[in-house]
Amino acid sequence: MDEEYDAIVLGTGLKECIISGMLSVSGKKVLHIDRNNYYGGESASLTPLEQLYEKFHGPNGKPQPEMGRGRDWNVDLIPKFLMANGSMVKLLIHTGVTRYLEFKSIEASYVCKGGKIYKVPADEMEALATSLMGMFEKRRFKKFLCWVQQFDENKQDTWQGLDPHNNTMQQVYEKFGLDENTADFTGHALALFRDDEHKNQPFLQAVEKIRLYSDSLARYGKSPYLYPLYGLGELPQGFARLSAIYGGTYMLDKAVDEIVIENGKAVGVKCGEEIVKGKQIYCDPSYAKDKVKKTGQVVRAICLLNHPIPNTNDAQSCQIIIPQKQVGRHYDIYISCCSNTNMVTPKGWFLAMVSTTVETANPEAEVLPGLQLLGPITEKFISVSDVFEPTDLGSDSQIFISTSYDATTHFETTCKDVLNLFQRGTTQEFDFTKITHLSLQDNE
Amino acid sequence: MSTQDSTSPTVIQAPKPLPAQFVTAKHPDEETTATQAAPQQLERVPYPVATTPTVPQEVIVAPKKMALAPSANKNYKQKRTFKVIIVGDAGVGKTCLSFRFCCGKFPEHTEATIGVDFRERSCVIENELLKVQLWDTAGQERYRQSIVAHYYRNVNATVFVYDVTNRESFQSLNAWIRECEKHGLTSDSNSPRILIGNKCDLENGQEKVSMDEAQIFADQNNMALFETSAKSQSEADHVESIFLTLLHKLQQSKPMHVQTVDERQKSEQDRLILKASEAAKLEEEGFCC
Repeated sequence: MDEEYDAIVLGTGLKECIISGMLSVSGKKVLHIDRNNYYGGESASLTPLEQLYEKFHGPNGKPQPEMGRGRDWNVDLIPKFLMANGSMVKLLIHTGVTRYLEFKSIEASYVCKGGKIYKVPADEMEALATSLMGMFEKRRFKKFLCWVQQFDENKQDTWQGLDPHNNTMQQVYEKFGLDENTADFTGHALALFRDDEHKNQPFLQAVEKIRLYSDSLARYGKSPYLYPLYGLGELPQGFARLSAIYGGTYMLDKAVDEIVIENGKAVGVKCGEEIVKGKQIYCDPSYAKDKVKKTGQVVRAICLLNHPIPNTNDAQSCQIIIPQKQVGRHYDIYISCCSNTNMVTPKGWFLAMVSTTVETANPEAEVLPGLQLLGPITEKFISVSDVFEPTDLGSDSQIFISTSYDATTHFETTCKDVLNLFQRGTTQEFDFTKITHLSLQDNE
Repeated sequence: MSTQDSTSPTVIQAPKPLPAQFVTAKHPDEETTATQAAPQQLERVPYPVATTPTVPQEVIVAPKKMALAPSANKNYKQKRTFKVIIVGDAGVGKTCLSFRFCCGKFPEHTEATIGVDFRERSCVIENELLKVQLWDTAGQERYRQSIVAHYYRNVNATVFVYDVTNRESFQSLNAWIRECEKHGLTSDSNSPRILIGNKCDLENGQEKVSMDEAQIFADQNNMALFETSAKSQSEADHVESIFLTLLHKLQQSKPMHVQTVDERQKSEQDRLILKASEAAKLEEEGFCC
């Protein structure tokens, strides 16, 4: 028991796996433990389908025979997509983890207005044809988008009289004469804000988010989103392998009783009778329940369908955003849909997920507007998860806790949290030049 | 601590009690301190070091005299790449076998190499350039269920390895077969499976797994059996021939589904593989979150 690790990582959720990979690459000696016998924790893709039924219905839960081979299902527990030009894609490329993964574009992105589904225009042709806004509004909107594209924080002549530090997004909308519907569409379907808070804040952040959307869209065309074949659970596993080939030690299916603390500082973890020594602990909130506080809840409905979502032109994969105002809520409702084309279902089956931030005592009713868009649902699993954030940032205790996954549809906040976690733990920023193992196939 | 980057078991707390030889397995530098079991049993060579461990291409550059090596200035009618995975218990010599085949020698250095995903070797058979990628478990096999799922994907052949002086590793084969089947690598799938009993140069009286029982097991599971030693120089040609046999088998294998040109183009459009070439572009943009 003389062995001491530089870091013990608890939980194999995406954030923990990225951290583990980054630490191993930085030359740290890492032990990575998960209490489950599968990778991914909260961010896992469950496979086979039987595992999903067991999780929600107990050992007697069994899928129906017509649902095909269980192994063909990879059911994400948390619905998210990658922005094609976003930080997760950059992280994947920089770390070379892309070699373990294959991606496909999500086919289309939709927004809900007045109970109807509209395609979010992906190019100028579609923008001209869309019935989302009227003729004159379209022109104003186009002017606005041009301004967003050429806006440069450091060049005052591109500001066109708007000050990124003092003017709010609301003022920007007003300057361009955009009506409330368009502002709604812009803020929620393009900038992907979950609520309307951004309207009263300096517009810089919103402009950057719209740019991220359009740059992502420009990359592969149909939508700004990418999704890995076999589900999101591939992401943590990719980073886990990165960690392993840089010397990280892996141990699944291992119960962790507690983090051992001496003089206010973590010194290891206790598993049954054993104590493993480690200088630092990185973990998800479920491994350090006394050092986190609940900040909210997210409700997610996993729906198994035997047809594509109606009114999406039979899209094999898509996203639908229901902006909060459309259904009288504070937070948006998100629907994501994937299928056999993404290797997450057998042929003919679709996986739709409806999710939102909980704001009432009856979360299940809150996703109803989303469920109503799906058509007949063969099977539905509802989960309500607490969102935690650390109350202890770890500078003294050396316990570094990630925040829970929020309801956003992409990984931008996830990446931010990971890089922040790494910085807190190592007091330096991650040096991407340390990764040098790009393989032959990448160089070809 | 020199073992930190190797795949040698740094076991200090196993989920289940492991056989003694695993618990006491040490980095070869520390071999002398291992006293609980016969020294031969502890043979566990960590990731071999290459001249420049950070650049895998250099690792796999084969010595000149390797058989069937492709010549630099020749056009081949076809190029195919095969992914071959090696599975088996920790310490049976998986890494050494792959090193022996891809680099033509037994890893001499005991320093640990990091960042090696797979070793590669190119061969030419019937004017076709064949690349074999031998994927390593990266040490994730120590606790069997810890190998990531993508390791088992798009696999063209599976090599099962046991240590002839370690019965436990032979008995584990069933579990490894089940694990592979769980991921769709079954005996009736088109990917060949072979079984290698490694370390046959070592003497170890009664414990030793006999060729006969291994043969029965191999027959039951529809695998070809080979006994060899990655370490012994006299067996070097044997390791070579085992893998070349496998290669011939792969070369003759028909792709499961022959794609038409249209289909291939379509699937390539559909499937966006993020290439490292994009990383260069991104670097210019800088990375910020």
